[in-house]
Amino acid sequence: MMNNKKIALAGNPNVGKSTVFNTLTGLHQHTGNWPGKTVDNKSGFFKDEKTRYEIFDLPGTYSLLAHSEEEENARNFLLFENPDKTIVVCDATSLLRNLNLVLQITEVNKNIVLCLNLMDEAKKKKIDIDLKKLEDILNIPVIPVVAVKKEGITELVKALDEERKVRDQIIYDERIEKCIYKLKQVLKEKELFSLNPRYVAIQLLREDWDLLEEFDKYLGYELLDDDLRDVLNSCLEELEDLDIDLLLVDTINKKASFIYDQVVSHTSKKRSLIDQKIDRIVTNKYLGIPIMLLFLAVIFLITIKLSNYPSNFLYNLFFSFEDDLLLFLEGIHLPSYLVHLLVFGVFRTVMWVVSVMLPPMMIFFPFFTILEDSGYLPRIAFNVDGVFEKCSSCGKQALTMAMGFGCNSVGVSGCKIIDSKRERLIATITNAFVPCNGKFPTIIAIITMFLVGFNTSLKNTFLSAVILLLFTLLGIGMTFLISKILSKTILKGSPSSFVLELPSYRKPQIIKTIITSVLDRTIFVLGRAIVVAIPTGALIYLLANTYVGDATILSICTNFLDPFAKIFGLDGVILMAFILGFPANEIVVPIIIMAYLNTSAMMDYSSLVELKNLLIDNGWTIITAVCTLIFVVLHFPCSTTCLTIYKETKSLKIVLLSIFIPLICGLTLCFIANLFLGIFV
Amino acid sequence: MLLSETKVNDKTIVKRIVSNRDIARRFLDIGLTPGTVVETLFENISKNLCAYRIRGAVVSIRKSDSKDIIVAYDE
Repeated sequence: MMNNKKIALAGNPNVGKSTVFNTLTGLHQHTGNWPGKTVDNKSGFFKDEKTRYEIFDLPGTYSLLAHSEEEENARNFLLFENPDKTIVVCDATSLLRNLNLVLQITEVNKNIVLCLNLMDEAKKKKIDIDLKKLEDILNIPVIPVVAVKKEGITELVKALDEERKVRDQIIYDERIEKCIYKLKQVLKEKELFSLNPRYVAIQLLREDWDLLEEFDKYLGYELLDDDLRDVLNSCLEELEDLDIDLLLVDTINKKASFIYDQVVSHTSKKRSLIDQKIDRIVTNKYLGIPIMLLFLAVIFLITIKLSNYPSNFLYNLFFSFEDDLLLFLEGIHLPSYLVHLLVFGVFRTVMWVVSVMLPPMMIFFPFFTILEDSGYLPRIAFNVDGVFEKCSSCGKQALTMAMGFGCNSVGVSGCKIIDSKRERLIATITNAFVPCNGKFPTIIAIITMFLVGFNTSLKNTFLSAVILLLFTLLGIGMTFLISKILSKTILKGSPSSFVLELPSYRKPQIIKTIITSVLDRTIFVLGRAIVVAIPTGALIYLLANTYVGDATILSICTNFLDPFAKIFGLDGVILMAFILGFPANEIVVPIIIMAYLNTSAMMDYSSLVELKNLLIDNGWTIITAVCTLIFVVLHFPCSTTCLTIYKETKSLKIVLLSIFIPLICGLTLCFIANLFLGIFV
Repeated sequence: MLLSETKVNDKTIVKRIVSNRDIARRFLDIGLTPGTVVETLFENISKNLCAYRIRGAVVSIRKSDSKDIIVAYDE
């Protein structure tokens, strides 16, 4: 019979907690909601000979004082889910601050293992940590680990069996301790289950009424009865002149410093000097922004250039199956209309979505994750925070925007890094203003066909790059404008405090990065895209092949939309293609071709010259081209992004705002462009 | 003196934090309490944000927040 043990994994942000988690659980993990919680959290399991460990990855936090959703989440898990052991992951290179959280956790939970990660970095930085002494002071196992190299993981698992309980560490100011004692006397009479009476007493003194409510829910009775209220009131009166929060934190900080001084000795400051040198360059007044643009531009160029090859490969590969699939389905005697619906509708759409979406994401995200791991991304937020503060939002929004260039859906889930809820929503709603990978091929094709010409001279290439940049800047400019408007209207509020850590630079783990970014981001996004592509594929096929009288439903729809679309310089086909292209921006052009040619399934074009002729035959002018370009950049986000917005915010209202705000902006700009260009052309 | 007025390479000690409660708590989280030594490192381009070394970590704080932190030079 196996034992079951529940393990919590806690720690500061950016200490390699998820690496420890991934190393422990391997592939036995899933992302899911815990009951009653709003933030996604991971859990997983692993086994040794006699025990099955279920491990919960808590949100990374600096403290347990519950100032943010993440902190509340982590604290509540430790308090109410009663884990058998809590592993606190610490960054060996900045143990001082990490010790704060360790000490705070000792007040909640006594069964702790300290996992000292990034020991290799600490060694390089000549930081010497006396593990034995730290272990003696705290009376808990202290395990040195290099999670990315899997060093120390076996020892960590072994330590989960230890019985040692952490020694009480914190003694507060005498007057506070007296009050804690008084409250504990009353609390002794009550059934507190797994709650630590001392911790409960301290939280009462902090007057954390939200937490008191959680206590009541957990205990099933009202904790603060008349007796306790009397004692508490007299205590609070006695301590009236003290800022209790400040005193508590101060005591913990001092204790952390005290322990730190005893166990850590620096023999060199060389490494942090290297960090400072890099920072001087990448945050430099003149160099900072160009370096940032260079990094991003290189990643985009590589992504756009390289993804053509695997895209074509996948496309041809899937296409070669199409006939076989057709024959097979006919062979099992399915009715022929169903076969065609499945093959030319569903299969072709899904194939299209996979072959155009997968390669750019598989190239973009590993690069992006490498920048993330190296510690460079926070410096971007640091560099550009000024303009975001002016929009009453947060510099970290720059990072979610950069992710949005890869995929808006990933950008939206990246908004988790923004602490304040108001600013997080602003970043979420405006993310679709940043054109994603899926839009670039369409934008480039239209620029080549209508604005620059097919001649690939240096001048033309440069000109198309400038126009591409202009339309990208249009998206970025709109992001700022709408962020500002949102923070003055429905998401009113002043910028919240912005505390941004600039972590030490680290050498990124290339292989691990590729694997996790493919698993975590690409596959995940692709899954959501396919879920929507299946019904849409069937719908597109049905619309294009169901006749009412002489016309297909598709052409009836496009004719119906036509007068409306003309106001905005578009036409019915273009608008309909965007609506049907909801699952992925990449299939908009194939749908346009299908509708113009009146074929029964989506088609690709053999050359841009041919496509241009087709478009001109169907009434495209330079005005149509410009308006379509605007609309490509500014319309509703794709279905995957909408699903992700709903998953992250659990609010239909936010999803609708995210759909209609960019749509209205796009239509307005198209209307203006159509009107103005109409005068000149 | 206010933390927002310190110059690059200044080393100061926090005397008092007069921010509103929510922001003061954020500072507590990163260990910024009276008595803490703060080293002013570098500003960003728009000069609305400045990086400090606080308890061994590099943390950046907006000027609009650091003007509520009263510091003095280390004697």
